[in-house]
Amino acid sequence: MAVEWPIEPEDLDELFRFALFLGEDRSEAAQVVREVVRGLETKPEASEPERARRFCFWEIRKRMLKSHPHRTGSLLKSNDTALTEAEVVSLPMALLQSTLRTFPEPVRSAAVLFFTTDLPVEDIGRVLDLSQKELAVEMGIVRQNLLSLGVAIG
Amino acid sequence: MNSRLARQHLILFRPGDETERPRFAEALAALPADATLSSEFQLDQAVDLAARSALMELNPTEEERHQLQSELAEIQSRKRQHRLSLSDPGVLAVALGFLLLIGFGVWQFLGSSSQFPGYAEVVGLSAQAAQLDAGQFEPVEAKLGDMDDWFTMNGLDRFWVPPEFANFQTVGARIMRFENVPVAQLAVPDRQMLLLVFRGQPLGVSIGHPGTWKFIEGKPYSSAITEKEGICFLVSIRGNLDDIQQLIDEVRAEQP
Repeated sequence: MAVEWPIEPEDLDELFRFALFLGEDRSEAAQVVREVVRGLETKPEASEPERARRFCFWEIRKRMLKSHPHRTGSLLKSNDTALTEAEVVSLPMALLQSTLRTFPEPVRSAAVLFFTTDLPVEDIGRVLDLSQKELAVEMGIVRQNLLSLGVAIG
Repeated sequence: MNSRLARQHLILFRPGDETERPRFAEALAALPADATLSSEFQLDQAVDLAARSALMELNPTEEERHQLQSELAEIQSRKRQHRLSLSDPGVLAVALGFLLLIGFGVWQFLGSSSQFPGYAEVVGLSAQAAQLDAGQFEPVEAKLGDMDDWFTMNGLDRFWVPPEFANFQTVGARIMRFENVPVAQLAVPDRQMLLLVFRGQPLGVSIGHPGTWKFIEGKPYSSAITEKEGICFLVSIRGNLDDIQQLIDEVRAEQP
């Protein structure tokens, strides 16, 4: 009988991206992903792929928030939509990245999991300990704040 | 689906989700009938696409990817060489077997030295938990103090194990439901302990101040229960009231 391993090579890119986004340093991100994936060996309860992925994201977040506790940003209060669809499309990638990085938790983690993984939204909620209603609120905040970038950059 | 409900659903929509989740397909179908909603949705999708594109740039380099994949391959190789472990359901069944053969199913309650609110529910819960089947356990090799991940992964938020039990090793765990309340059940080979962790309030169970233990004498098993922040922890061992009280005294004495 073949031994199943719940993490696939393509999952590693997602895990790395998540770790890098919550931290800043590439080598740190790679190291955390390695440790977390290695840690699955002692987590037979996470032997199914879905659980393993949830566990990895959950563990990465736990570790990164522990080593970067200072990373708390603020959100715009305005409800005005300042950008049009065409303007959104032309926003610089670096600006979007840096803006997303400044979001406070769990908005920031919700955004990166929602946008960069195919985790079902129910699983994103589990990773972040959010109900679906709460996750929907966080994603509404993400979009509202990105749309308000026009206000932020003048 | 009306516009209000469609708007709520579409907040968590990602392209492709509609094929697997009917609620998204229904919400999308409501768009043509509401120009405002349709416009909002298009703008949200543009934002999502921009954010996704920006974040997807954070890829590992080829070298980083190679290192990560090598690590994964190494683990997979190691796993193939260690098939026989408690993770193997057969081995787990044997490991739990001694727990199951001791007649937990004929547990009789002899009364309590100190009854408490919800006592009857705890007795009922224990009797149901006694219907053990090794096949229903997940193999979990971990110290009880490291079970936070397992609890969280199973949606059992704030579930805990008293620090005096943190160093005991579990070999299997499962989630059972009693009166629709989720209960974590853990098997510990040391002294053939069986542990239950559950929310007390839905069952009307209240033990009192943290650190307080209440005891239930049964045959052949006796139990002790404590509570912290609404989460109850019950431990059962083979023996009488003196035995369970002695266990609690011992583990507490080992605490710094």
